[in-house]
Amino acid sequence: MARAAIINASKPDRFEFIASRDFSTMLTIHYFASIRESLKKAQEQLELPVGVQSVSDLIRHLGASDAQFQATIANDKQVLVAVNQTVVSRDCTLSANDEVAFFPPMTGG
Amino acid sequence: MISVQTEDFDIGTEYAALRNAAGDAGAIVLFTGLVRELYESGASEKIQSLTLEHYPGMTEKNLAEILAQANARWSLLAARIIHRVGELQSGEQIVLVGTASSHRHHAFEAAQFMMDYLKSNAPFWKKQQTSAASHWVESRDTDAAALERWQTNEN
Repeated sequence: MARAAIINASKPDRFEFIASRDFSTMLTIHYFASIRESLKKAQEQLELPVGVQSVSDLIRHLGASDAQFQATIANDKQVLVAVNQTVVSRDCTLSANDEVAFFPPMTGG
Repeated sequence: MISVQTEDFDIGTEYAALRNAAGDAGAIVLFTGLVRELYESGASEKIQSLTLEHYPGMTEKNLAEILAQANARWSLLAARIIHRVGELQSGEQIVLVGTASSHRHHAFEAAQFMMDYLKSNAPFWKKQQTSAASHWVESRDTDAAALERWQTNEN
């Protein structure tokens, strides 16, 4: 999480951090179950890439540099996507600070 | 009320709690899901254990939504969902759905609706361990069909 640093006028030798202002443009991405195992990671954070406006854009962006991601997620239409903990279609628009998750069809109960 | 937990649950305790919360109930339905030893009848490998993974945060949100939908469609006096996560052995309890209503029709249907919704919508994933190998359970078309029934048959 990025924070803004300002100099306190009364104590100019000290930096203070303003926690209430958040300049983060980070996306948090979660992977679950078989997807997590294929990619060998449960979570990652990345700066919202320039030109990425939708889930499809993000999948294209990540798949371009990662063959395993391409094979596991981009080429498998069964894989579900959630944005901010709600299942969405791949044309869903992304914003800074969104929580994205990729997972196989649910098998609870 | 919803709970996502690793611990087992006690049917008697849950029944008493539902009865107490419901007040003047005429019907209480409790459904319990168990870990089967054979995933398919006739399967050659017995299941030794089942590991349930979930999406913390989304799971609770989703179960609360299922409960709200059941409350909107049927006259329920109280309702309960418990879903276990982590490693479970065959024969153990996995899931509980409970409903209390003035009449059995509402209690039965709402309980079935909640189970059908939960199976295909709540972010849980099962991995089976047999003596030979472990593998992720695949979703079933019959579960999707069970869910569809509630979407077309508005009552």
